[in-house]
Amino acid sequence: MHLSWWVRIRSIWYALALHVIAAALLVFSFSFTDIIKPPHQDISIVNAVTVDKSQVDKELQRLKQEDEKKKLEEQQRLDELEKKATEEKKKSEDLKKQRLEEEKKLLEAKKKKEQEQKLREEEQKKLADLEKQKQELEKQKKLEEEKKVLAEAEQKKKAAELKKLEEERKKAEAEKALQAQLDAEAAEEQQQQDITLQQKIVAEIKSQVRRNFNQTGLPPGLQCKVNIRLLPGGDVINANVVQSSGNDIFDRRALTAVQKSSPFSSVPDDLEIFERIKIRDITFTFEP
Amino acid sequence: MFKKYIYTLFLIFIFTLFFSKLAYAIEIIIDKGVEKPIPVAIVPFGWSQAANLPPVDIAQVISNDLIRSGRFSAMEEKDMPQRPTDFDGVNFRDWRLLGMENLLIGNLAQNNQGDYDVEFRLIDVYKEKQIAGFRIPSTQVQLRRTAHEISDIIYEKLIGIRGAFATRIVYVTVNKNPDGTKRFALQVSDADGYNPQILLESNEPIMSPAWSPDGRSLAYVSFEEKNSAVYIQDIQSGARQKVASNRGINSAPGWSPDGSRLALTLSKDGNPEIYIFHIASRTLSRITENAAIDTEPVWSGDGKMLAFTSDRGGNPQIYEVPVEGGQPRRISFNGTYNAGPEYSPDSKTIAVINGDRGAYRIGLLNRATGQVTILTGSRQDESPSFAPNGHMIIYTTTGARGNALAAISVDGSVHQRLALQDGEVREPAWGPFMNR
Repeated sequence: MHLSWWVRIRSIWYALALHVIAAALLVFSFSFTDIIKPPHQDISIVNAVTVDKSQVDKELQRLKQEDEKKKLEEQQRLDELEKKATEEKKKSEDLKKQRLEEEKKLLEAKKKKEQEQKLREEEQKKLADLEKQKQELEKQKKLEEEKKVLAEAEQKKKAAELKKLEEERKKAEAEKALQAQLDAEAAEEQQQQDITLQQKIVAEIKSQVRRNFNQTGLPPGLQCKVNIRLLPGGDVINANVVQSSGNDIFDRRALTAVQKSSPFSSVPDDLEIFERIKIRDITFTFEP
Repeated sequence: MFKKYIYTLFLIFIFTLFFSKLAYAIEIIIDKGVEKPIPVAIVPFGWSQAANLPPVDIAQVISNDLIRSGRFSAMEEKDMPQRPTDFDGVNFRDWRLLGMENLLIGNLAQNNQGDYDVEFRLIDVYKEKQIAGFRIPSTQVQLRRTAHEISDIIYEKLIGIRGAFATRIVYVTVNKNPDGTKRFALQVSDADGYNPQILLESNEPIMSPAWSPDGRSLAYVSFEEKNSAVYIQDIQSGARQKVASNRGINSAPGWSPDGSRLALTLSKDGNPEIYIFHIASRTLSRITENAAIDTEPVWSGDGKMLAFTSDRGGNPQIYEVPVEGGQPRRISFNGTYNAGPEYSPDSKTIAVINGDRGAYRIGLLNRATGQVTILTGSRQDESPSFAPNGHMIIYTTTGARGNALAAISVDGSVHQRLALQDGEVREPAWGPFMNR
């Protein structure tokens, strides 16, 4: 790390120096170009004055000579200038060449350095990669271990949960069984109650019908069956002689006994109880 | 799959068995009932002429009949919720609320000839159906009898045995002449005591009237010739014949069921013995021969036996002997005194006067067991006579209110004094069924 920093600083210094030199060279070249600016701007001005031809021709001749002379001089001067410029240019080019070579050298050095640096960096990188790989491996290993531990823990947890679930299930089952037993017991008890209630009601119905069964004048030894349907509250509907005694009066007395007993006051009004005790359908056998 | 199905079915079967402890179709055995009067409402009959009162209150006559029988309780008119005269007018619910089981409604109408039409319906209130319905033509004189006939029909339809309301009774009345001597009269009336008709009057005793089986004639004992004599008299014409006027006692005629013979008590041969008198041939055959008193012979329903009273055992008791003669057999053993036998129409029992410790009551002697069931509770009850349907017994009773005719149902449930004229009443006999 320390090394790479130093390298980087040095490279910056080189770069800065090169830039300064380049800037100086540029300044110089600019000043030369200022000098070679063409001067013809003053020459083009002409005064429009009328003169005689001979004079003019003379003048013109003189002017022409003069001009040619000027032109020659100018040419000389230009040649000189050109010569000078060429020399200058050569000088500059040499300098430039020299500078380029230096620059090249610098670049090569830099390149070498950079290569070395790169090598080093690569090596370092390799090392780092290796390290990283190693670390990664370790990390992975660690992760795997952790994973393993986690998995084991998970498994344990799962097993525990399963066990717990199983226990809960068993418990629920036990509770359910208990509840079922309780329900069955309750149902049994309810049924026992219903039976008792039914018996009680049947006994009351029987005594009610007995009280209304008038045997006055009836011959002995007869039997008939009367079927009735009850409504909750004990009202009799559909009373019918289902098996005749053969004696019309006996049958009628039996039927009257049942109908006269309606409503059977002991029969519950509550439909649910009424249905449960199954008291809807009754057949009476009259056999005094 | 199939196995599972069978298994399920089996489970359902078991389940059903379990729950079948609650019987679905309940069976109740009514092994006994009650013996009580049958409720009936005799609604006043409709009457065609609003301007005049009907000659007879038919409903009232019927109600009285039924009540007197002991088998019915007739609703009083004031308690009736309505007075319908036709079937459609009956509000059954109202009657049921009062526990009324049977309803009689009807109409009385006078036709152009001045005679009457009696139309009636007997209705089962709980079934809401007519049990019987008739139209009976009648006359002003016969209206009461028509009412009794309706009573008979009601009785038959609701009890199962023909009523004995349209029958007559015979009895002897004893009144005082202006000079203080006794005046005897043989009288016939309706079974309810109405329409009495005197057949014979005498200053000498008249005794033991007995109906011929056809109800047309009476046999009786009259002392009008100072000595006792047995007569047969045609009720309608009044014509009579003397059948026994021997020396000594001529008494206690009893008709054979076929009406061809009379059993008599005669003492012409020494002491009172039982004889059979053949009406057509006017011949006698002797049944008993004994030093003791044998009297009051009556015929069993099948005509094979005679029952009579004899004191051959020391006290008066009932004996039976075959009509062709033979050794009499004692059949009564309860109490120190049993006399005045009368067979029930079915001949299963014999009504007797049972004397025990100074009290004389009407009892029923069971022929099969020899047991006597006491029916009445006074101290001086005599002369029992069965109604032809066997359900009632008419007799005389002497109590704090004097002597009177009374009727009792054979189950002992109803005692009733019959309304008759003043004076002492003796030896009633209930007449047979008359043809309708």
